[in-house]
Amino acid sequence: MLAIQVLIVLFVLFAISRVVRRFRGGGISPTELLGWTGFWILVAVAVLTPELTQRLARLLGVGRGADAILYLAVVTLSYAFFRLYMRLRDLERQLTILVRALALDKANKERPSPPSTA
Amino acid sequence: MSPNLFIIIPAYNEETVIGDVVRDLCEKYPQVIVVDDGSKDQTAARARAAGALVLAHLINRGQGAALKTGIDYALAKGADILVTFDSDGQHRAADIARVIAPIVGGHMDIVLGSRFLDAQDKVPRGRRLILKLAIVFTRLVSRIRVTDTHNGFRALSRRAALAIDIRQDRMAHASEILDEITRHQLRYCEVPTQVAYTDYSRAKGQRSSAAVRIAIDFLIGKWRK
Repeated sequence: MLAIQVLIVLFVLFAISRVVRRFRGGGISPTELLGWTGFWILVAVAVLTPELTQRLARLLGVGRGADAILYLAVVTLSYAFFRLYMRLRDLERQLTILVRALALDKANKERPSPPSTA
Repeated sequence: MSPNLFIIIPAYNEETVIGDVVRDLCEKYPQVIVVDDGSKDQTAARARAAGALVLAHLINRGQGAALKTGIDYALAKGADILVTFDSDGQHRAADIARVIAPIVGGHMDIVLGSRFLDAQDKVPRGRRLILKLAIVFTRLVSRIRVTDTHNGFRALSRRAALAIDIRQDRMAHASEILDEITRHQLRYCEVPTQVAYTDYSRAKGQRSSAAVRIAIDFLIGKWRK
């Protein structure tokens, strides 16, 4: 086995162990466990069977398996990043709504009637 | 019967000047709301001591968010006219009468303060280009022509305050308000207001480079609507 294959497989095992530990700790759902484990297994398979990536490359009309993986990875990661960014924006908005509700709630408790126009 | 007037001041870490700003306003206008946007200093306490009602954001959310909190509160308390005012001492209480006059008169929904109507060119040089670009940008994107696109001094009628939806938490809210004016076809006008550029306010002010971020935030926000 090539050094890179060893390294990546070791990392995949590490990543899967992290995912399992998260699941055990109650942080992620069974579906997420399956999803992430499946993903990492695919990564390991892709690295261990370069013939697979080579076939994929030929299918897509790309020169090398590694190139095909690279292109797909870039596109997928970019999209995933975009999705995360939008999620973050939504969370920020929700946070503001919450902070506002707390502020108004507190004010209304302290002063239930409209302030008088002196 | 005189209209129910509220002054709304979003504030973040302004303990050194907020007391003076509030006291100045309270002389003539008793209903001053300071929205403490998660300040780490004594802003809230000093504002309260000076006579303002303080709404407190537990964490900092941005000037736009603070403004909306203040507006929501004022509307709930039956406000007829709402004035937005800066917390750093750049705005003059004396200008309020001029800003609210068109609304009291009933022929405007929203009045925007402008530094540039009086041709008093006290604006720091670096800023001028950015502001000119902002005017062009606003004309193209929001289809509204104003001489000062980012002035925190405004007066809104109840109708305008109810209609305008501020979704931008941070500095892009100023652009968003202009956009909302066009969207709701509100009657608007500008009146000249004075701005006092002190060393304090200049040091605290936005860096000109923030303009790009503001533009992007605004455009994305607009698209998501």
